[in-house]
Amino acid sequence: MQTLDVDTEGKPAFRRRGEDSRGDRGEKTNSSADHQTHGRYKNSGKAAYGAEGGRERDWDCGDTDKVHPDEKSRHRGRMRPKLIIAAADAEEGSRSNAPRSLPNPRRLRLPTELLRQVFQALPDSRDRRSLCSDLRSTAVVCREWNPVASERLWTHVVVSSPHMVRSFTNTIGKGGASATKLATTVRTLKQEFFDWEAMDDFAGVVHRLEGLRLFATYWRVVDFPYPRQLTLFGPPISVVVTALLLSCPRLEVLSIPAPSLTPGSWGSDSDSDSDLDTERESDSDSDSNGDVDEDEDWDLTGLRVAGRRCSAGELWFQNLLLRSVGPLVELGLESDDPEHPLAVPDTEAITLPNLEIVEAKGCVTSLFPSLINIQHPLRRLVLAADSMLLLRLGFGTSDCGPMRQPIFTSNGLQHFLRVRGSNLTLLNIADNMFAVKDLLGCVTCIGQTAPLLETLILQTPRSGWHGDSFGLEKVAFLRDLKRGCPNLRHVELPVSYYRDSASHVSEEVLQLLADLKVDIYRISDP
Amino acid sequence: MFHRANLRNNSKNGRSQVGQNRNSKKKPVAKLTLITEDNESFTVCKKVAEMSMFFKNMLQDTEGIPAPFIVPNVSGYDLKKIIEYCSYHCLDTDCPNDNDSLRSRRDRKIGHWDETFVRNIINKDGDPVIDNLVGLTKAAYFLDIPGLIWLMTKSIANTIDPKPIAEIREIFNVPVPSEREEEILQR
Repeated sequence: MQTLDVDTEGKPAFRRRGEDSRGDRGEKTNSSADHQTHGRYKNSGKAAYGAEGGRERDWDCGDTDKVHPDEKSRHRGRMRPKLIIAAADAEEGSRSNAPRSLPNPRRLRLPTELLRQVFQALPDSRDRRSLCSDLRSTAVVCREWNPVASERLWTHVVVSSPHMVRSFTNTIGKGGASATKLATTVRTLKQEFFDWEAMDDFAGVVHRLEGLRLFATYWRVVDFPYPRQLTLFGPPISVVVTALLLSCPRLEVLSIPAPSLTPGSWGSDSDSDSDLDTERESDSDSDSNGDVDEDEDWDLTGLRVAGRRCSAGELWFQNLLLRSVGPLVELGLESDDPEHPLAVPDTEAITLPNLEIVEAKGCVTSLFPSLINIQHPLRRLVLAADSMLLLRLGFGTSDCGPMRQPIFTSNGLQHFLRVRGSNLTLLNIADNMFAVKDLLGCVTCIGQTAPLLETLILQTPRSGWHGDSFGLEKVAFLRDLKRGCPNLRHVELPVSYYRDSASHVSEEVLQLLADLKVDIYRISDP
Repeated sequence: MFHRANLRNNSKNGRSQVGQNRNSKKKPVAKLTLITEDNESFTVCKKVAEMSMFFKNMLQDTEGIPAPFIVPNVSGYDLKKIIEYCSYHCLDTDCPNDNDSLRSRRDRKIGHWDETFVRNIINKDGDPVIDNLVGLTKAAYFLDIPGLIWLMTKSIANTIDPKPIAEIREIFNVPVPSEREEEILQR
């Protein structure tokens, strides 16, 4: 017969002490806690079950569905009596016999696993509005909460100022067990600014981020003194990317500005020249080997490049990346400079047999004529020209513009959809230059070819669909479309939402949308 | 007991067919008697109990309904609330009760019934009694009911959500750390 004290929160004291002592021992301990708990409960359950025969007369069995009338008054204070459990297992017994000091009885504690779940429900850095204020508060509440909250804070990191990237770099760069643990906790890292010096330091600690899955950097420039060089992202990003590819084997998605690596565009920075040489060397090495992808274990499946091409013929960094990272599943290209459209040579498309997600925004060209040759039907296709710039895309050599450049035509798109459109769940052809008739032709084609489609974005300022009101005639095509695409939920109409207001939507339209269970941006939910 | 004896008599008299029919018709819903650490006794349907992975595994292991089962570390108040939750959700297919589907639906919102359920765990001033929430969370964790754990941890997070550090410490009765310790934590 062992006596097991149950403290005021209903957990045996030995468990609580165990949590205290292992405090920040990390995931391994915590993940096994569940398992241990289960095993122990089974044991104690059986022990208790075995013992109940002797205590049968002490309570009414069978028909006491209702709670004891005075239970509320008894349990509001949550003071629990001592529980006597026969034949509790030997280990528990010996621990509970050990002398111990009871902690503050009023203090509320949660096991690490539950604490982690509580913090999971708090907004992290992915929620822009919160700025992690709650998580940062919880991290300084006490020593028990700190490691759990830190773990969550460091899983998704967004650095939005040079100061933040410096403190990030300092924290994980100073070495030691806790810094290593924090560094390996990072799963996604987004940089929302660009700063040469901070990035230089950052490149030195990249190798510590072993668990990184996503790295994204944008260029919201903060206090950059030379406006002319804003878009000339040079050696720092290439150094960071190289370090990431070398030391983060689990990296899945890489989202970077288009690097410009030529001495001409870079200017006269001696450091950068040496970086550049390294890059060039590695490129030439790869050319001579003919195969950069020596490590078959790369997890990198997503690559996004945003920015502009600096001058003709300088695509080799992208080429190097494409060859280095192995078969991509996701490729995103974005550029806003019509003079220098971002391009990936046609030959590279053939080396992307697994491509399933393609997102091209703005001035992007050259990859798409060969999209039709990819192995699998695409899941997501975005062909959107931001800010009304000309989107020069082609789906076949016959679709050539006056300059013998392929152009994005309705026929080309329809042809593509018939061949490779059967798995599409998202299609975004915003800012296209189609006439209304051609666009409706495309929509009909989509209805016939893309049964899995959930989101369709047709938004364009160029369409003739302007008007003060949305009558039934403007959304009537949805009825047929929904028949072909039963999963369709979200649609953006071929109108400019910047100009048109949704204030004159007729009741019939709303009724139709409700019947079809389709949401139209700014109309169903203005 | 009397009823069973009758059935046995019937089968002895060569009316086993009728006996079996009657047995299947009147087969009582499998029930489990649970006794909490403070000697409260509850009887629940097997289906309700199986919302708890702990009971589900136990019922599988014991291959049948055991006699009254002592649930250590769970108070009568907690078990009453847990039974209330499980009775409602055992037939609710919309509410996931396994970790995988809970993980895949992270942006899930608290349902109407659940909201009322949590609101009832309050004191007379209408504030959520945080120690009741914590106690129930631990009990749900003990009995391994993923749906209820999700609801409780979410509710605790909502309690923490907009509050400053001092107030969080006050709610959870965490002693204010020394200046030096606070400095370490801040770092």
